[in-house]
Amino acid sequence: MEIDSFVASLLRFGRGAGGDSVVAWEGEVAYGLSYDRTVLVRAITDVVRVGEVVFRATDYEGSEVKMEGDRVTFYPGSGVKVRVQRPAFSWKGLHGLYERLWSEEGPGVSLSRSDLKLLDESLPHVELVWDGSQIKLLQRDIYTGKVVEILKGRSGEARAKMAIRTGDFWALMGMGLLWDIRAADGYFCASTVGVRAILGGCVYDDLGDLGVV
Amino acid sequence: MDYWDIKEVVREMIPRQNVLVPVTSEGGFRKGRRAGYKEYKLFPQGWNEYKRELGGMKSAFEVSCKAAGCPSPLNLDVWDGKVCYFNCNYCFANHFRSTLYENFFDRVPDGLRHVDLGEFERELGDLMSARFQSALEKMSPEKRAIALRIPIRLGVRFENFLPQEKRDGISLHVLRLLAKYHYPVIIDTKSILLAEDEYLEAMASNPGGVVVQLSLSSANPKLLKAMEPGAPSPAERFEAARRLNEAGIRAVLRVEPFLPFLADSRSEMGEYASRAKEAGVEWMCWDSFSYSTASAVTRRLFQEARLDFDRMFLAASDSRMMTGILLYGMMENFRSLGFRCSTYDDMNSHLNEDTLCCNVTGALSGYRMNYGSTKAAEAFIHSRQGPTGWADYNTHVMKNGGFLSEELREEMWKLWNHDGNAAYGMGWLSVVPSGRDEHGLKWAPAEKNPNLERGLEVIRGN
Repeated sequence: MEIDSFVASLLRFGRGAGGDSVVAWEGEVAYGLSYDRTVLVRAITDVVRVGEVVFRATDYEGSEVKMEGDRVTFYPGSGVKVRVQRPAFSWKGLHGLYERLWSEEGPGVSLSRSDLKLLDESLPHVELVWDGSQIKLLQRDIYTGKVVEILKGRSGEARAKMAIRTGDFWALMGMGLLWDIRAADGYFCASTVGVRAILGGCVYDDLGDLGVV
Repeated sequence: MDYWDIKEVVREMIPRQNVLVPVTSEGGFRKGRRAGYKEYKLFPQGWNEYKRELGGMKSAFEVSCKAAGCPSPLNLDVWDGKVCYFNCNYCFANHFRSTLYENFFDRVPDGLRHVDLGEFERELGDLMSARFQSALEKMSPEKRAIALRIPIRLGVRFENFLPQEKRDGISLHVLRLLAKYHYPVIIDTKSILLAEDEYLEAMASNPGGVVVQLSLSSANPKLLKAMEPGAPSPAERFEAARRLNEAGIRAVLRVEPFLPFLADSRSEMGEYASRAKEAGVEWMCWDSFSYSTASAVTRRLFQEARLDFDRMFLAASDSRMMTGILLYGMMENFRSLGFRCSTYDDMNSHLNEDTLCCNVTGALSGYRMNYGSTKAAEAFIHSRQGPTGWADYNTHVMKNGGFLSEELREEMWKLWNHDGNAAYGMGWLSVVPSGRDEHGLKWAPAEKNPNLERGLEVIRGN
């Protein structure tokens, strides 16, 4: 994936608030952490980068970039330099987070963009329920009380429900046509060709604080 | 069906978000400059530098831009600033001011300013000269409001009782001036300064009466420390309420914003109620989370405090249906405990135990409301037996002194006819369309608010 596309795609996660989204790139692997720390995306880049660089996605000024200490300098062309501060993340740190959370285990489902055509983008969440015989995508309209249910036949083990933000679902589909999605403990692992993503799940309880997986 | 039955259903509709790592703030510089910048606007002649040097405050009075929905929209703020030291993370004003007032506050060291008392006295004297006049047509909206004796509200736009006020006594002087004019006053504040003797005396000396609305969303000090780090603790605010009530000044507790999932557990609200009782509080105001506050910055501040902004906001603001039924449930809970509750929320305002939603009945004297507002229209429609058209309502408003401005009359006419800002339309109130005439829709009273009933049906699973 081109790093330009990767940065642009990252900004669609976390309800599109891009201010503090972080990109860490080294070798042929780029990590992106969403602004609200709910999504980690890992992509294989089309260019192999020598040495680590970490920057905020909204600071991005092109793939010609150097990092020295806590300063990142972009060279967008015509002799222009744009110098910004490096965020307090490292490639190794995000790689460690990925290694800790990524899982190939657990019940999963394959979903494509066409499966999502019936979803209402204006509703905040999509609930995913595996019940052994089918996958159910369910949207509750919190504005009118209606419920949208999409059923898809499959086999798999029973699983408690967990939701994903609708906007994150669409952002994910923007990065690939077909995704394998598996539920882990409080989050989702999703993969397509060249891209993997870990997405914080949304759970149904009484609490009001942010859960940390 | 009580609040916690309702919440059982809502929690299955709006989930809580998990994050991968905690959200933290970082210092350091960012791309772009915040100080000494210049701003340009494009005119047909070319780019012109746009300056926002405000100079002195031209007027401390203002008829609210939301007057069409508000029965008491005459605002007064004698203090103003870029940053309020209470630093509430849900404040709409801080972020607004930090951009609007950048140039001005580059030159003001502590970021606060206040009215010039000499100029203020002159302006107040001029406004108060309208009290005994009846020819309102040529008056400013503010003068009309004074002529109609609509209560003055301090604190809608800024906190007027910060520590600097204790040093300078500006608001104290203003309270004494208003007492001289026997003019009714409503104060919105989180400060405990009003419980000090000289402020109590200034308020008690006003024959028009003073109501203090102490804003307190929760009795949980840990939560409030995260959300309002500079504001007095719940214990201090309950104590201030006790002192106010003992001095004969009505202290209303204002649960605004009401915070489902963050501050609504049975035990926490039980503690809130018992401490409010101990403080002699009888009246309470409730309202939802301000929709206009839902910026990325506000969301981020909640997240840095590890609070799920989205879950609260979806339930307490974004979905009018959810907001209305959750407020209904919690207010009914407090009513069952002996409190008198009112709200600005349109789905519940028909249940208010006050003529204004500010809880002033019996505490202010000789006041009137802004009859040119949707809530006043709702009350008027309920006072009549049959369908009510615009002409009847317009006559009613004119008999009571008229609209505060022609713009407000036009806005009200639009809202009456399902036009204008849909968030404040008549359709949210406990009235139903019942026909048409040459001026547009006719409305009839509904025994129950149709939106609230529909929401409760959803909760019941019907």
